[in-house]
Amino acid sequence: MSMTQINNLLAFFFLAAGLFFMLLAAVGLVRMPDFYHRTHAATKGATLGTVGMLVAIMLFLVSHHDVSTIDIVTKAVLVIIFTFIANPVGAHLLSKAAHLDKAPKWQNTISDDLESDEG
Amino acid sequence: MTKLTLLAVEQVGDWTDQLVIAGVDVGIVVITFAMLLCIVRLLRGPHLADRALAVDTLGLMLIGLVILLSMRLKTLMFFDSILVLSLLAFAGTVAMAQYIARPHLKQRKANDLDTKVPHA
Repeated sequence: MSMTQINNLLAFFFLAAGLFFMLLAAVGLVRMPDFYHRTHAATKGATLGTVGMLVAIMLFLVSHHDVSTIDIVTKAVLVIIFTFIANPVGAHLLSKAAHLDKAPKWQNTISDDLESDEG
Repeated sequence: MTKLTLLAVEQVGDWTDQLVIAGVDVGIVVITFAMLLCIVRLLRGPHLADRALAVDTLGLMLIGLVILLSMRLKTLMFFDSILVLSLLAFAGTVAMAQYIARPHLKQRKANDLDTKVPHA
Protein backbone atom coordinates (compact mmCIF):
# COMPACT_ATOMS: atom_id res chain seq x y z
CA MET A 1 0.00 0.00 0.00
CA SER A 2 1.38 3.33 -0.99
CA MET A 3 1.28 6.49 1.08
CA THR A 4 -1.40 7.99 -1.14
CA GLN A 5 -3.70 5.05 -0.58
CA ILE A 6 -3.29 5.21 3.19
CA ASN A 7 -4.02 8.94 3.08
CA ASN A 8 -7.13 8.33 1.01
CA LEU A 9 -8.47 5.65 3.33
CA LEU A 10 -7.89 7.86 6.38
CA ALA A 11 -9.62 10.73 4.55
CA PHE A 12 -12.59 8.47 3.84
CA PHE A 13 -12.81 7.49 7.51
CA PHE A 14 -12.72 11.10 8.74
CA LEU A 15 -15.20 12.15 6.05
CA ALA A 16 -17.66 9.46 7.14
CA ALA A 17 -17.27 10.46 10.80
CA GLY A 18 -17.78 14.14 9.99
CA LEU A 19 -20.89 13.47 7.94
CA PHE A 20 -22.29 11.25 10.68
CA PHE A 21 -21.85 13.97 13.30
CA MET A 22 -23.34 16.62 10.98
CA LEU A 23 -26.45 14.48 10.46
CA LEU A 24 -26.62 13.82 14.20
CA ALA A 25 -26.54 17.57 14.90
CA ALA A 26 -29.41 18.23 12.50
CA VAL A 27 -31.54 15.38 13.86
CA GLY A 28 -30.91 16.58 17.42
CA LEU A 29 -31.84 20.10 16.41
CA VAL A 30 -35.24 18.90 15.24
CA ARG A 31 -36.02 16.16 17.76
CA MET A 32 -34.89 17.57 21.12
CA PRO A 33 -37.60 18.94 23.42
CA ASP A 34 -36.34 22.41 24.45
CA PHE A 35 -33.76 25.02 23.57
CA TYR A 36 -31.05 23.87 25.98
CA HIS A 37 -31.18 20.29 24.75
CA ARG A 38 -31.04 21.56 21.18
CA THR A 39 -27.94 23.66 21.86
CA HIS A 40 -26.32 20.64 23.46
CA ALA A 41 -26.94 18.47 20.39
CA ALA A 42 -26.38 20.98 17.62
CA THR A 43 -23.20 22.68 18.83
CA LYS A 44 -21.20 19.61 19.72
CA GLY A 45 -22.35 17.68 16.68
CA ALA A 46 -21.69 20.46 14.21
CA THR A 47 -18.28 21.30 15.71
CA LEU A 48 -17.09 17.70 15.54
CA GLY A 49 -18.54 17.32 12.06
CA THR A 50 -16.74 20.39 10.71
CA VAL A 51 -13.45 19.33 12.27
CA GLY A 52 -13.75 15.82 10.88
CA MET A 53 -14.41 17.07 7.38
CA LEU A 54 -11.52 19.55 7.59
CA VAL A 55 -9.16 16.75 8.58
CA ALA A 56 -10.53 14.70 5.69
CA ILE A 57 -9.87 17.41 3.11
CA MET A 58 -6.40 17.97 4.56
CA LEU A 59 -5.49 14.29 4.19
CA PHE A 60 -7.10 13.98 0.79
CA LEU A 61 -5.54 17.02 -0.88
CA VAL A 62 -2.09 16.58 0.68
CA SER A 63 -1.49 13.55 -1.49
CA HIS A 64 -2.71 15.36 -4.57
CA HIS A 65 0.18 16.68 -6.59
CA ASP A 66 -0.96 20.08 -7.81
CA VAL A 67 -1.99 21.46 -4.42
CA SER A 68 0.74 22.91 -2.23
CA THR A 69 1.00 21.07 1.10
CA ILE A 70 1.91 23.99 3.35
CA ASP A 71 -1.06 25.99 2.04
CA ILE A 72 -3.72 23.42 2.81
CA VAL A 73 -2.30 22.34 6.16
CA THR A 74 -1.91 25.90 7.46
CA LYS A 75 -5.40 26.96 6.50
CA ALA A 76 -7.07 23.77 7.71
CA VAL A 77 -5.34 23.90 11.10
CA LEU A 78 -6.26 27.57 11.42
CA VAL A 79 -9.94 26.86 10.76
CA ILE A 80 -9.90 23.86 13.13
CA ILE A 81 -8.48 25.92 16.00
CA PHE A 82 -10.90 28.76 15.34
CA THR A 83 -13.89 26.41 15.21
CA PHE A 84 -12.88 24.71 18.44
CA ILE A 85 -12.66 28.05 20.24
CA ALA A 86 -15.44 30.09 18.67
CA ASN A 87 -18.25 27.56 18.46
CA PRO A 88 -18.62 26.72 22.16
CA VAL A 89 -18.26 30.40 23.04
CA GLY A 90 -21.09 31.32 20.68
CA ALA A 91 -23.34 28.57 22.01
CA HIS A 92 -22.62 29.62 25.61
CA LEU A 93 -23.49 33.26 24.85
CA LEU A 94 -26.67 32.23 23.07
CA SER A 95 -27.90 29.95 25.82
CA LYS A 96 -27.09 32.56 28.48
CA ALA A 97 -29.12 35.09 26.52
CA ALA A 98 -31.97 32.60 26.13
CA HIS A 99 -31.94 31.93 29.88
CA LEU A 100 -32.13 35.66 30.58
CA ASP A 101 -35.06 35.85 28.16
CA LYS A 102 -36.77 32.95 30.01
CA ALA A 103 -36.83 30.51 27.12
CA PRO A 104 -39.33 27.73 27.92
CA LYS A 105 -37.83 24.68 29.63
CA TRP A 106 -38.65 21.03 29.21
CA GLN A 107 -41.55 20.05 31.47
CA ASN A 108 -39.53 17.32 33.19
CA THR A 109 -36.61 19.60 34.09
CA ILE A 110 -35.44 18.71 37.58
CA SER A 111 -33.26 21.65 38.64
CA ASP A 112 -32.00 24.98 37.33
CA ASP A 113 -28.93 26.07 39.25
CA LEU A 114 -28.47 29.38 37.44
CA GLU A 115 -32.00 30.49 38.24
CA SER A 116 -31.77 29.47 41.91
CA ASP A 117 -28.44 31.30 42.19
CA GLU A 118 -29.92 34.51 40.89
CA GLY A 119 -32.83 34.08 43.27
CA MET B 1 -8.29 27.01 -16.05
CA THR B 2 -9.39 23.74 -17.58
CA LYS B 3 -9.07 22.30 -14.10
CA LEU B 4 -12.42 23.73 -13.11
CA THR B 5 -14.47 22.10 -15.84
CA LEU B 6 -16.11 18.98 -14.49
CA LEU B 7 -15.05 16.72 -17.34
CA ALA B 8 -11.37 17.31 -16.69
CA VAL B 9 -11.80 16.19 -13.07
CA GLU B 10 -13.32 12.84 -13.98
CA GLN B 11 -9.94 11.24 -14.54
CA VAL B 12 -9.68 7.70 -13.21
CA GLY B 13 -7.66 7.37 -10.02
CA ASP B 14 -7.01 4.15 -8.14
CA TRP B 15 -9.75 2.54 -6.06
CA THR B 16 -9.11 4.51 -2.86
CA ASP B 17 -9.45 7.74 -4.81
CA GLN B 18 -12.74 6.56 -6.24
CA LEU B 19 -13.88 5.51 -2.75
CA VAL B 20 -13.34 9.04 -1.41
CA ILE B 21 -15.10 10.54 -4.43
CA ALA B 22 -18.09 8.23 -3.87
CA GLY B 23 -18.11 9.24 -0.20
CA VAL B 24 -18.18 12.89 -1.24
CA ASP B 25 -21.13 12.23 -3.55
CA VAL B 26 -23.06 10.56 -0.73
CA GLY B 27 -22.00 13.37 1.61
CA ILE B 28 -23.56 16.06 -0.56
CA VAL B 29 -26.92 14.30 -0.20
CA VAL B 30 -26.44 13.85 3.56
CA ILE B 31 -25.53 17.50 4.14
CA THR B 32 -28.46 18.68 2.03
CA PHE B 33 -30.83 16.55 4.11
CA ALA B 34 -29.31 17.94 7.31
CA MET B 35 -29.74 21.48 6.01
CA LEU B 36 -33.42 20.74 5.33
CA LEU B 37 -33.82 19.60 8.95
CA CYS B 38 -32.17 22.84 10.09
CA ILE B 39 -34.60 24.85 7.97
CA VAL B 40 -37.49 23.00 9.62
CA ARG B 41 -36.22 24.18 13.00
CA LEU B 42 -35.64 27.68 11.59
CA LEU B 43 -39.26 27.95 10.50
CA ARG B 44 -40.79 26.25 13.56
CA GLY B 45 -38.57 27.39 16.43
CA PRO B 46 -40.75 28.72 19.24
CA HIS B 47 -38.10 31.04 20.69
CA LEU B 48 -35.88 33.53 18.88
CA ALA B 49 -32.78 31.75 20.22
CA ASP B 50 -33.92 28.54 18.50
CA ARG B 51 -33.88 30.31 15.17
CA ALA B 52 -30.46 31.83 15.87
CA LEU B 53 -29.12 28.38 16.73
CA ALA B 54 -30.57 26.95 13.53
CA VAL B 55 -28.88 29.67 11.47
CA ASP B 56 -25.56 29.00 13.23
CA THR B 57 -25.82 25.29 12.43
CA LEU B 58 -26.79 26.11 8.85
CA GLY B 59 -23.60 28.15 8.53
CA LEU B 60 -21.49 25.24 9.74
CA MET B 61 -23.21 22.93 7.27
CA LEU B 62 -22.53 25.42 4.49
CA ILE B 63 -18.84 25.15 5.44
CA GLY B 64 -19.17 21.38 5.10
CA LEU B 65 -20.73 21.77 1.67
CA VAL B 66 -17.87 24.00 0.50
CA ILE B 67 -15.38 21.42 1.81
CA LEU B 68 -17.16 18.69 -0.15
CA LEU B 69 -17.12 20.84 -3.28
CA SER B 70 -13.40 21.49 -3.08
CA MET B 71 -12.76 17.79 -2.39
CA ARG B 72 -14.77 16.92 -5.50
CA LEU B 73 -12.97 19.42 -7.72
CA LYS B 74 -9.58 18.83 -6.00
CA THR B 75 -8.82 22.52 -5.72
CA LEU B 76 -7.92 24.95 -2.97
CA MET B 77 -9.72 27.83 -4.68
CA PHE B 78 -12.64 27.90 -2.23
CA PHE B 79 -10.68 27.39 0.96
CA ASP B 80 -10.54 31.06 1.94
CA SER B 81 -14.32 31.20 1.82
CA ILE B 82 -14.35 28.55 4.58
CA LEU B 83 -12.40 30.91 6.85
CA VAL B 84 -14.74 33.81 6.07
CA LEU B 85 -17.86 31.67 6.57
CA SER B 86 -16.77 30.42 9.98
CA LEU B 87 -15.98 33.98 11.09
CA LEU B 88 -19.34 35.24 9.84
CA ALA B 89 -21.29 32.45 11.54
CA PHE B 90 -19.61 33.24 14.86
CA ALA B 91 -20.19 36.98 14.51
CA GLY B 92 -23.84 36.42 13.66
CA THR B 93 -24.37 34.19 16.68
CA VAL B 94 -22.77 36.71 19.03
CA ALA B 95 -24.84 39.53 17.55
CA MET B 96 -28.08 37.57 17.97
CA ALA B 97 -27.16 36.70 21.56
CA GLN B 98 -26.55 40.36 22.35
CA TYR B 99 -29.84 41.28 20.68
CA ILE B 100 -31.76 38.78 22.82
CA ALA B 101 -30.01 39.61 26.09
CA ARG B 102 -29.72 43.40 25.95
CA PRO B 103 -33.18 44.45 27.26
CA HIS B 104 -32.74 42.22 30.30
CA LEU B 105 -29.22 43.45 30.98
CA LYS B 106 -30.44 47.05 30.76
CA GLN B 107 -33.26 46.24 33.16
CA ARG B 108 -30.85 44.66 35.60
CA LYS B 109 -28.51 47.64 35.45
CA ALA B 110 -31.39 50.01 36.17
CA ASN B 111 -32.46 47.88 39.14
CA ASP B 112 -28.92 47.87 40.51
CA LEU B 113 -28.72 51.65 40.29
CA ASP B 114 -32.04 51.96 42.09
CA THR B 115 -30.95 49.79 44.97
CA LYS B 116 -27.53 51.42 45.32
CA VAL B 117 -28.74 55.01 45.43
CA PRO B 118 -32.02 54.88 47.34
CA HIS B 119 -32.42 58.63 47.93
CA ALA B 120 -31.51 59.86 44.49
